[in-house]
Amino acid sequence: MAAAFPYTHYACPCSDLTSTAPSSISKRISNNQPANADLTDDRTFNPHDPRANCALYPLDHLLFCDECDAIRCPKCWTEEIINWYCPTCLFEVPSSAVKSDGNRCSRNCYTCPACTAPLAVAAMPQPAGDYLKPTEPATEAYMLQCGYCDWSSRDLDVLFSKPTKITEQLAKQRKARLGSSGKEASDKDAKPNPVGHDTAFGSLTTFYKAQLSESGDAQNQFANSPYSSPANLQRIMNIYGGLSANTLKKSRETPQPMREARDSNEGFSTYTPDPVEHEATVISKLRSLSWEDTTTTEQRLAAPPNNYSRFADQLWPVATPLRTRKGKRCETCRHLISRPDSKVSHIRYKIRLLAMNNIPRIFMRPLHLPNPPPPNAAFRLRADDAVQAELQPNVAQQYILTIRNPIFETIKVTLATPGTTPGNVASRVTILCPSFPVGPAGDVWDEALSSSTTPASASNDGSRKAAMASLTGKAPEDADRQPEAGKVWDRTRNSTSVIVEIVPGPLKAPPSIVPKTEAELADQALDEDDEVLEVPIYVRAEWETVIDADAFGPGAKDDKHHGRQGEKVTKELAYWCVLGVGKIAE
Amino acid sequence: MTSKPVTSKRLLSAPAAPAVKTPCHIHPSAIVADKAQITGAHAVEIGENAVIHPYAKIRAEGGKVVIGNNSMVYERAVVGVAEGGEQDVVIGEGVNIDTGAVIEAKNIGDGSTIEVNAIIGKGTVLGRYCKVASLERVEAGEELEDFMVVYSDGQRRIDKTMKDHPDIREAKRVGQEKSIELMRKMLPNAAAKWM
Repeated sequence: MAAAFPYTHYACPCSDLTSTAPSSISKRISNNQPANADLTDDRTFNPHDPRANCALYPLDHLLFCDECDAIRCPKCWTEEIINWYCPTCLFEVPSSAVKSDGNRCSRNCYTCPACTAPLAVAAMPQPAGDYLKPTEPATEAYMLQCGYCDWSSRDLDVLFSKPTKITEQLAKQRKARLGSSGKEASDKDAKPNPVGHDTAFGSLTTFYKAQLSESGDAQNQFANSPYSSPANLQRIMNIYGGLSANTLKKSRETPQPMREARDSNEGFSTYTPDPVEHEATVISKLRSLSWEDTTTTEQRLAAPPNNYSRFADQLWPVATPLRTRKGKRCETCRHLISRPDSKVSHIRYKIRLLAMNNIPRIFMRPLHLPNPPPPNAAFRLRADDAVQAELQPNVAQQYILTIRNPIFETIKVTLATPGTTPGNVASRVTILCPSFPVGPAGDVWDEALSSSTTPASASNDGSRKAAMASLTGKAPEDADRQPEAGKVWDRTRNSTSVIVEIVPGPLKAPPSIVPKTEAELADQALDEDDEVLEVPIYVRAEWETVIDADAFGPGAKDDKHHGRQGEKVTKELAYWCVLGVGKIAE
Repeated sequence: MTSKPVTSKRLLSAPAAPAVKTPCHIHPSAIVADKAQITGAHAVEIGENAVIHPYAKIRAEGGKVVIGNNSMVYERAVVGVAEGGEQDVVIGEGVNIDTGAVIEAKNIGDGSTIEVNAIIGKGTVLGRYCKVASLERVEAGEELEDFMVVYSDGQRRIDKTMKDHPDIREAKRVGQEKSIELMRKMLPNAAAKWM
């Protein structure tokens, strides 16, 4: 879904599009670096580049590695599975059970084949007879019912005798149904494949397991760990250290290479074309039904029993696939940057280093909001309810750009943006104050105790203006403030706002006197999304921290931190971000 | 802090007195909440045991509105065509119209359920025991068969379970009666206001 305007997307420095600073900033910081031959070429980030989408992320998708002091995007971290669980019953499945039984819940959790909503076990309605007569157990029946689309397992004529162990009952009913139809293999209604499918799967699994143990391919049980030495050790011990006949035999014989299945006992099955009568019945049935009565590819692929069903009334309920809980590691330094709790019901994280708590955040909003103010995009019910005003070309608009600082030191922020936006549509962007400090984030009480309730500019002469100022909390001349170049617009405890002037460029070039050639016209044709005004901004933050001796211990020899404890070190963080402003009108 | 416009608040605090008294035939056993709104010059018929929740809106401006026995109209639902249209709206027996739905249908069959915030366009005819899931739309002029389910952004299917098994329909009817009984206990009746 497209983000609502105005949005901010951050770029991870891992991509080569975003790892270079613009020349205006790099000249200042490259005093110590060798002169690059390609300093002259344009190193600004073009958000309309087709590859730019792969580098841009909204802030909540980014993590931060505090060892490397860098932003980490989904491409820069590796994931490890911590545990498996079923999303419906929240039962944690041990990984050994996952390896043997498969990655689906085996405990009564099924999803509707028609609409993928969870199925509930419902009791069949009892005949409203005498309340005094106890219900006979024989009449109790249960079925799976979908709460959303009203599908039920009675559509398949599948009923259960008890509400638990649904998996077993379903498997039994399936086998019974297919077993009976398998006997009449020459019958027109029989489907040749599914009977063979389940048995073939079972035979293949046993065959491959036997092959793996025979050929000596060690199962790497420690695939999750980055260190492979425990597995190697175990393998060597298995070959040379065992006393049982099996291990002695293995150490004597050379392992045979793994081979494929050869006959149907081992699971090998050839393709047999359906008998002609079977195809004819299917085709005649298709003629009488409509499109919605046939299955879609997603429905067929959702579960193995449904792989060969053609019609929607043949779909079996789908066992819920299990979900995993993953921990994330930085790829460069292998430091854990995100680790959820191992208990499934706990949604807190043990470690969670978010980018939004470590990098300055940028927000943009128009200086003059239209009256009445547009409704908040987060509250719309339907996606097409959002109506956003378009920007008029060649009309200067002013926006307030706010930088919010999440860390506990004062940072000095420098912003850089190309004077005209890169891409086919050239809009002019000017930041009125590109370099300014932003205060530290701190306790709420710090602000209350340090500042006074009335602004400094309110005069103390008891006049009506001063009284109004103390009531509303702002100075009376605020309503008519004009943005000035080089001055900060607003400053609060941990954020600073500056004004940005944007003049959207025209979508079409102005008509020229000389008629253009075909090639030139094709050149000027707009690509997709060119009318979206996106401003790339390079943000650089510098701050000083005091090295914490406790974090490193007595023997730390980290050469990044030259100083001894208590000494100040300058840290710096720089990244590209893209501000989506709006769509330009024709 | 900038001041917010207060126009939306003003509407709720002073309900406008209706200029025309709507001719209502409300069954003595029906419950109509005090804050419900019944407007319009055409007739409004509310059947036996029906329940109209607070802030439900029945617009009889374009035509008469008939609500069948054992039906429920929940809060902020709107039954009746918008201004400018000319059409009656007939709601069958045992029909449940959930919160926020907008009903401009010509006819809704018995036992149907219209879920939260659904929109039923003008001139539509819904069959018996239909179900329109939440936030769905039925476009103007459409006709839904009996037992049709509208779900998942416009998809349609026939509810075979309801169609082939009368005991399931009976169960739904019993369920609807039980909810009506519960609502009767919770809502004070102010039907006298419109009689």
